[in-house]
Amino acid sequence: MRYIHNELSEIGILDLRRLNDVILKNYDTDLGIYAHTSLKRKLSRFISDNSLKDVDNLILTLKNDSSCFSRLMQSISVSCTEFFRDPSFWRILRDEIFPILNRAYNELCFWIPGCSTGEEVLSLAITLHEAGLYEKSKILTSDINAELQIKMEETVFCKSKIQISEHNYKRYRTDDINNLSDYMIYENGSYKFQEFLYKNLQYEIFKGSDLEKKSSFFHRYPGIHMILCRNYFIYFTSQHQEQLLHIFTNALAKGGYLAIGNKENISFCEDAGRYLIASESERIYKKK
Amino acid sequence: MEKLTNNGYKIILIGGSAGSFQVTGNILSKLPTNFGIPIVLVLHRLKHVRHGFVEALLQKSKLPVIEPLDKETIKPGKVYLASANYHLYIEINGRFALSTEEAVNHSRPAIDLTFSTGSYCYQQKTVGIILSGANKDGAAGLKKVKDRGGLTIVQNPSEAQIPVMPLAAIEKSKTVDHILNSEEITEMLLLLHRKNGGN
Repeated sequence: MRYIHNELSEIGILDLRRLNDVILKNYDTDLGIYAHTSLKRKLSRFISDNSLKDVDNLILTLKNDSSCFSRLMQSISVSCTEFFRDPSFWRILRDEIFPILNRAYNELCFWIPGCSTGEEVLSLAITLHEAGLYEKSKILTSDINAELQIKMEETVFCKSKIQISEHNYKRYRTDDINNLSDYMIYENGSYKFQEFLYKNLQYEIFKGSDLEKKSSFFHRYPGIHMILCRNYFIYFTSQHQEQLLHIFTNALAKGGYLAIGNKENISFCEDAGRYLIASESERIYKKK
Repeated sequence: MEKLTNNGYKIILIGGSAGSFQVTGNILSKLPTNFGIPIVLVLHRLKHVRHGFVEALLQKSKLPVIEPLDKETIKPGKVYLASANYHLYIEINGRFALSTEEAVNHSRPAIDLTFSTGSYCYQQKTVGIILSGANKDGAAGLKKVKDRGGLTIVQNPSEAQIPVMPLAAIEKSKTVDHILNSEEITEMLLLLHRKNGGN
């Protein structure tokens, strides 16, 4: 297991500004959309993991090595999540939201932005599968991290993550009939999910700030029925969150659902007025 | 006591784990409704129990206790409790930010992260307090508070139900400003309140 640093070197605001200028100029990507503290933390981690010494060294490396840039973006995009995080959310999805969607549509389209290593995607696939809806569903996923996505089916998960997730799954099921591990293959000390769960997934790769591309992506998939972006907005500034929400709202079908994390907030965004509350406790909104 | 003359503290960060809940409740119960310095509580808790904690503290506290939402502005007169299963950061614009990044010291929320980001934002206007607990989370964070000129307080290990966390904090910072029993911590907070012009 990798040592978890909690005493990383501090990156100042001026350092961040210089770094962003270089990345903007060389890679047309704006780090200014990310929430400050977690971005700084991830950058410090990246610098330390790659033995780069400091921000100046990182800047120098970035100027000469584009692979360093993709690795950097990968480390920014990854956030640690778990399967079936907040089991009560998945119960509401299964018991309240899915029946409504199932009655209304012959085909279902979900979108998970910022899919990271796929925990949320696979949790959705399993929930749909158990509800008998997987065959009529398509799950669009997107992230800024190309390398990660190409390998999604290959992703392996360590035992400790599976243990936490198994507890979540039991709380979601509230029975002892199924285990999360029923969906997994154990190989060489780690777990892989069965291939059929990846069958109806479709990946899209975005650059960090490519809002235009995000918008055009949705023109190809009109009327998405549900967007799951739980704990996604927390990694962006309020301004960028506002822009993202606007894109999401336009992408949703009338009556479509938006799920955000249970401590996230959209009430300050202009588009908040375009939603009704479907579940207060689980922060699920329904587009008017 | 020299540091107390440096009044104008802007934030009080309290970290604790096993054995800290009752102490926190007792401290909160003695603070007046016009207590003007925002308090941020980072208490280790079970990640799947999302409800009940705030309610239990509200039984004791005269001040409103809330779990802050992402990007919520920090305001005086409130007690903020770090939510289960998220790290709680304090941004330089005086707002909270949440994160689901991996656990630090096996903890999420991690005391270290709130203390280090909070003291980065508020510098010498930060008060950091470490209470009872069974792991070493908070020690590095309290040291950050100290290095930035803030006021550092640790619950007396001999009074703490579980002394591991206070001892680790004392060892890491070498010299903390005050090692106090919980009642003295309350008195200290009331003193800071008066120094800030409260009554």
